[in-house]
Parts: sequence; structure tokens; C-alpha cells
Amino acid sequence: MQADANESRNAQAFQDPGEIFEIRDQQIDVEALMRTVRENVARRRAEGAYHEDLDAIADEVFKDVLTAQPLLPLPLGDGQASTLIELNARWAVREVPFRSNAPLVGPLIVAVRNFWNWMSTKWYTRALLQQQVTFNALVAQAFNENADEHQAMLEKTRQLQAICQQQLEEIALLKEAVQRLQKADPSDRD
Amino acid sequence: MRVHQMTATLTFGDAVSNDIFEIDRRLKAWGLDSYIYAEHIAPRLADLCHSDAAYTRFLGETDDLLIYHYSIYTPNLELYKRTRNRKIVIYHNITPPEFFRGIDSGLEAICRTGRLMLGDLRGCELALADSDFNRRELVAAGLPQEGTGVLPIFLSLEKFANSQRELGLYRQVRRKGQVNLLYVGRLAPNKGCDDLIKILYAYRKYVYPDAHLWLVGDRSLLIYTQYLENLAARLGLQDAVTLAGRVSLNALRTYYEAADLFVYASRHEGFGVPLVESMYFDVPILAYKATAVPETLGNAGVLFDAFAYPEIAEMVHLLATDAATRQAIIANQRQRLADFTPERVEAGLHHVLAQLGAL
Repeated sequence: MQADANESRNAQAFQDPGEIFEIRDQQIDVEALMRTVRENVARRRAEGAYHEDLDAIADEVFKDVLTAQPLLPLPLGDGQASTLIELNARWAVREVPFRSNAPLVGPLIVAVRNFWNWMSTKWYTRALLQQQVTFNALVAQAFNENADEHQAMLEKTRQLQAICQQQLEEIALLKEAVQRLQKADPSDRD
Repeated sequence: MRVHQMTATLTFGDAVSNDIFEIDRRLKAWGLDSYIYAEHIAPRLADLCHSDAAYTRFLGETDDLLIYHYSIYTPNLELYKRTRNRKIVIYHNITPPEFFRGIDSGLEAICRTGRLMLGDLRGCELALADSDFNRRELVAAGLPQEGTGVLPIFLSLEKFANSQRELGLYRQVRRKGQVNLLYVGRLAPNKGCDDLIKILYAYRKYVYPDAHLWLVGDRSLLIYTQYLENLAARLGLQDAVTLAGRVSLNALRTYYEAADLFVYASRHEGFGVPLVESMYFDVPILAYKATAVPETLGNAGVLFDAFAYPEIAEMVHLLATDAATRQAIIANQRQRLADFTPERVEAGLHHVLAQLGAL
């Protein structure tokens, strides 16, 4: 990143470890430590190590991130939006009519099955189903409200950011004006 | 006597907020009426302090004392300027705005304004800073040298005494044969977290392949966090770098206890609380020599003043694996840690208040 320039130049100039590190500990044999560092780096370099320009790689990654990122919170992504559309379409649980493709006896099978469902489970499951539908409706409503709030906050953030920027610029200008005036008349400092 | 402390934001776990509450505790113990105000207050702390608007009714009280903590621009700077209270400033530093360019325009603007307004802190009886580096910034901004001083921040390391290691996390982090490099702090551009990833790359590829970097701290700067994740992926380190986010006290203790080396590449640091926490947990420190970092370390730890990744990778290995070197570094760090005991800071605060006739 931006503050790396001087330090990187130092690094590329192959400084001696004794110039890079500072150890103020009297108990440590600093020279022996530096010798180890110096020898190991020299050996590895001779073997072809440390050829990458890590700062350049990092700069490139940083630029990519900056160009890819908007400065404000993201609006709902495509995936989230399509999930919301699907949620809105499917929150209501609907009874699927029973069908049979069997020739001739098919309508009879359907009639028997419907009668059996009506008699054995319909009145029992209808109440459960209604609870599930109510719950689904509440979930869908909550998600829709969240999405609306998200959008509203996004707009509000944009507006606030613009106002903040404007006010901070005004403060900076005022500050400079005050400093100019104080320089012109040092007796009136406060 | 009434003493008011005011700042921009009070949040849980933040170093400045912690300092304010520690000072509050001492003020009350010394029989003073102590109140805390902020522009933004975390809900969990709402019962302990007041909105800065509540301070306005004390603006005309000439016998009251205001301790104003300045660490970012906040509109309550106007209250500081208007008040007729006696005034002390404690400056905790503001990160230069250039670091946030392209990453967070709002933060960039607030930091720029905050630094631009530093000169407005004139008019206090004493301007304190938590490091000499910060104190010099005050002088450079036009505050009179003779009215400035250094008062180290309260660190509350005793909070760790009541914490416990998280065994599951410890087993996950402390794997046999793995060298754990730890960074604690906000994931922010001035902290040089990207350089730590580059160091890890050099170390793993050319010196020792089984190493992991744990970045523990706030990752709310989304663009910067994305950059770190992309850089790790680009260097093939996606499984060797963990962005742990903000963690509980128990988890923080666990990370320190599982670490082999604390690495710090911060380019702008007003003090560096995690450096002292590393001393507390006997984790050797390898840090970039910039701003207040050498001052906080004193004679402890190992400093580097150039991002020479090959040499740093070798030093990482020596500090992580050479027992004699580690022990010597740790012994020195323990000595330095003694300079940050709460008793010393408390004595400094007491001296300041006594000088001003507040005690």
C-alpha cells in the first residue's frame, strides 16, 4: 500500500540485518543472531529464494479490491433478490390435488383417495397447515420489510455521506480562514 | 470537587474507554465527584455515563475540572472550547487520514478534521498524552511545550486474571509443530496487517512451512478486510491466515497463550496496548520501529526498521524456535511490563491532580 515505498526501497537494497534489526537486550548475543540471519538469507538467495516482489503483488491486489468495491453498503444482490421473489411466491402452502394416470380406474382411485384424505387427515392437518401458512406469511413479511428498510437505509446513508462530506469540507475551509486571520492578527488567538 | 471526563465514543473493550473508566474509578476513590460524557455511547455502557449534551449545564462552573480525551474529531470539541471549567487534555492520537484513502472516506474525513483541530486544544492547564510521541504531536500543533506531559494509559491487565483459556480454541490454534504468529488490534491500513501476511508468506515458503497467522481484532473496515483476504488467497495462504474478528476476553487470552510470536507492523501507533498485553503473556515481540512503538517497548522485544521480508522471516524463526533467545527476550519484556503497572499510572494521575490543586 501507499506507505510502503521507502521501506521497500530499503529492502531491495539488501540491507545488512544489523541495520534492519534493533535489539536492546544486553543478555542476547546480537552479533551471533545477525550472523545467523545474514548467512541463512544469503544461502537461500543463492538457492533462488525470495525472488517475488511481494509489495508489487500486494499493490495489485489492493487496486483490484478498490476498483471492485463500491464505497457504500451493497444493495441486495441478485441472489438475495431472487430468493425474496421466490419466498413471496411460495409462502402460501397450497393443497396439491391428487391425480392418477391409471386408465379407466384412475377417476375411481382419485375419488377413493380424496374420500380417505377427507375422512382421515384433512380436518386434522388443515389446522396444522394453517399454522404453517401463518408462520410463512410472517417470515415473508419480515424479509420484505427488511429489504425495504435496507434500501431506505442505503438511500439515507448516501444522503448523510454527502452531507458529512460537504460539512467537513466547510469546516476545513473555515479552519483555514481562522488560521489565516490569526496569523494576520496574533493578538486575537482565541 | 466535580470532575467531568468527556470523549467522542465509549465502547466496551476500547483502550480509550477503558482508560476513562479506570480514571473514573480512581477519582471516586479519592473522594471526587466524577462524571463521564460521550457523543456516542455503547448500549451496554449507558448506565455508567451520560450523553455529552448533559454536560452543557456545567459549562459555566469555574471550579469544576474537565478532563477531555481526544482521539478523533467530535462536535463536543466545541464544548471543550466553550467551557469555563478548568481543563486537562489527554491526547490518545489520531491516525493520519492518508491511511484511509480509498478505504473509508468518512473515517478519512473525520481523522483529517481531528488532526486539523489539534491546535484547538490550546487553553487547557495541562495537555497530557499517553506517550511522548503523542505529546510531541501536541507541541507541533502549537500547544506550549511547558504545558504538556506524559501519562501512560491505564491498561487493566488484571482483567486477564479473571479470564480462562478456551480449551477447544486452544487445541485448534496450538497444533503440534505449527508456529503461531499473532497480531491483536483493529484490522486497519495503518496497522500494516498486509505486511504481516507478506512476512508469513516469506516465512512459510522459504524458512518453515507450518506456520499460521492469527489476526485478532475488529474487521469493520470492509474494503481493507477484503484486501487482506484477497492478498492471502493470492499468495496461497487462505488456510494459513485467520481473520478472527473481535473476540471475548477468554478467547483473547487463549490466542495470546497459544502464540509463539507477536508480530506488529503498525506504521502509526499512539501507544500500542497489545504490545504490553504480549509482555503480560510472555509472548516475544517482533515489531516495526515506527511512531510510539519503540517508546512503548523500551528495551524490550525486537524492532525492525525496514520491510526486508527475507531477513524478517529468518528473525521470526529464531524468535519462535530458539529457546535461549526467546527466554532472554521474555525476561526483558517482563522488566518493561513493570513500568505499566496501574499503581504507577495511578501515582502519575494523582501527582497531576495534586499539582492542579484538585486533591
